[in-house]
Amino acid sequence: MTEGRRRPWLLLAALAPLALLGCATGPSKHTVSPTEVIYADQALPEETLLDVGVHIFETAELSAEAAAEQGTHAEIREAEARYIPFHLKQTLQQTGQWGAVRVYPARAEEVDVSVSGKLLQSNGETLTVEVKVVDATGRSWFHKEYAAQATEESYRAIVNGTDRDPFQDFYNQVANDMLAYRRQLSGKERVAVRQVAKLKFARSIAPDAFGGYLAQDDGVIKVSRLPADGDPMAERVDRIHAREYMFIDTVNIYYGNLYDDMREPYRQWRRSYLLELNQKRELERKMWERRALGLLALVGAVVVSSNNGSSSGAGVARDLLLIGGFEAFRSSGQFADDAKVHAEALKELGVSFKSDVAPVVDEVDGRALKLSGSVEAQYAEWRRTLSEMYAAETGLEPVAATPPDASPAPESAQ
Amino acid sequence: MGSQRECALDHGSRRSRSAARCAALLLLWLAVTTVPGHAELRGELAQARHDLAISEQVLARVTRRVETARADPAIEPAQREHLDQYLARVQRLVALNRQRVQTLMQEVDALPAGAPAPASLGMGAPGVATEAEEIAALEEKLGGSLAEFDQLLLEEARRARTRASGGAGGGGGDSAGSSGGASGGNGTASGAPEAGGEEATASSADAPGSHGADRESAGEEGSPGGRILGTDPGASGASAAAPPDVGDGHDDDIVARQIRKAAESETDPELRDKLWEEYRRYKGAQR
Repeated sequence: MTEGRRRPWLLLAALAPLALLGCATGPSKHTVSPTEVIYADQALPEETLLDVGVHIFETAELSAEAAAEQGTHAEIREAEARYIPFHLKQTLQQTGQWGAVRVYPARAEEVDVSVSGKLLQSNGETLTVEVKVVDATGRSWFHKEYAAQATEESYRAIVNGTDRDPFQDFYNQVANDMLAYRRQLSGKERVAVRQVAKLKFARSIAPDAFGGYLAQDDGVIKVSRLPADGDPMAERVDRIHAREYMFIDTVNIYYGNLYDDMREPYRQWRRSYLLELNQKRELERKMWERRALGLLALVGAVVVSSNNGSSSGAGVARDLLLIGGFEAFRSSGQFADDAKVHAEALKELGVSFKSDVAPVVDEVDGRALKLSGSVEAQYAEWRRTLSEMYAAETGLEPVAATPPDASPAPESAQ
Repeated sequence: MGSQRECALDHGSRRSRSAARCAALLLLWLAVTTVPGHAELRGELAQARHDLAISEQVLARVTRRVETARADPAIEPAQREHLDQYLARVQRLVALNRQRVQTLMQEVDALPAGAPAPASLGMGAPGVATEAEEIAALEEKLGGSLAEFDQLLLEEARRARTRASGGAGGGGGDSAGSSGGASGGNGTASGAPEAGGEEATASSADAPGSHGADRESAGEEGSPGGRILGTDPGASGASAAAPPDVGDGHDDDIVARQIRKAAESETDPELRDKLWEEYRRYKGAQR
């Protein structure tokens, strides 16, 4: 093959990994290591602080077999899908790098920075979560799959009474990754994110008045114009926005209750799970060691018997190997039985924790749902009132409200 | 002779009646031609504004579509050119509509002071007084609805809080510091120094407070730059509007802060008074 012919192949080989990277649309994988969270050491300007909305996490579909294998239950996952976002909120809030941080019961487009996640695996040993962060302009900050591991050492904090989450490094890592992205934004860009979030809310509640204030540019939502100072409609929207925050804060009290109720039993469950799992693994390891030893002894007995069939010494050695081999098998059976006891204990732990936590989740979800229903009805009324006000003030007929980010209908310019 | 005089009188009175009829007809014509003229002008202005609003919305949509098309390599140059032409046409249309609205506004401004104001399209409420009354009524309706909603949320927050104090476990603070106990993978650097010194890495001994503490003093600890949880981030330092007897709110919990913030940012005086009253009642119940 000539040099000239080889070059295109070399080029293709060099570009192949890049092409694969380009095709990859899933989250980038990240193994969590011990991580310190980064706190703000000075007050940040109010106008550049971004509010964060952490949404209740999704849960990966969990079949009965998978649940049994992972030592968990769908109900536990549902509780964790509320607990983990709340703990992330706590961590973000404590860094002082952000404005208000709230847990949202449903997707909300009108918050400066949205954090959504999918719980892939969670037990006392492993936490795997897919996290996606976007801002109000639609700019994707990152999409990562975090895998964190806990050891018995991680749970020592509970014993010592320092009350630190065994997977705190995961929360710290997410907080730091968010901070790293936010640092790339200029002050002007942060202000723009806040303006877009505010106008998105205004558009959702008063589409007649604020329908034309935002525009899409290369997949990113931008402010095309701002309401005038003292715009009465903007002031009304601000008053309603304050109620939106109050509503979310009220729901957050419920999530806080769930978090408080769940914290201790959850940690104990995770800790006990890990201890039981480690003991089960240790017993299983011993069981396999004994079985291997027994097998070796039996093989040795056969070898001795075939090589030195008639000598008395060989007979004794063969007998000893046979006895030792059978004894090893017998004791491995004992370890297997003990391991089964631990496996049963793991199941029992899951069932017990599930029955503790499921009613609390149901109660919190019920309250949040009821409140959300009232709020939706209330918002519909406010939308109507604002629409009538707009018509009265401008003399314009209310334009049919298009939902935010809906694809535009075929237009006909007048 | 007498009959001639009667005839002359009769003729005179007929002429005067005819003149009066002419005058009345003239007045009627004036009334018909002047007043509806104002109404037509204002109606035309309302229509022009309506057209402008619609054309602006169309422009926004077309602009988005053109920008998407520009970024899409699959769109052929001829199609792009066609879209550009369309965009230019809509832009011209918006400019024309804007000019039309300005011209009509100047004409309406030049009308006599007593002329009727434009009717609210679709609202069936013509006249200055009616329109103002209508907006005032809607403001009142909105204020009442907000007050009702506040009440609902306050009740709900109170219920949630009662539930929390009744059943919450709670504990110490969750440290956000690194454990060093978690099994690691490939160690990633943390706390990298940054220009401007905006942030600092925490020591693992820090324990910024649990949720229990958070609900009592949310945002105050460990949040040097953060807004306080449960406040309207859009509003800023309105404590000057607070009545003198309510204090500075430094010991408020999250619910009290919500009420206080809502009261501070409320522009409707009646509703604001109600919120302050609720704030006093809530603080009183806490003690």
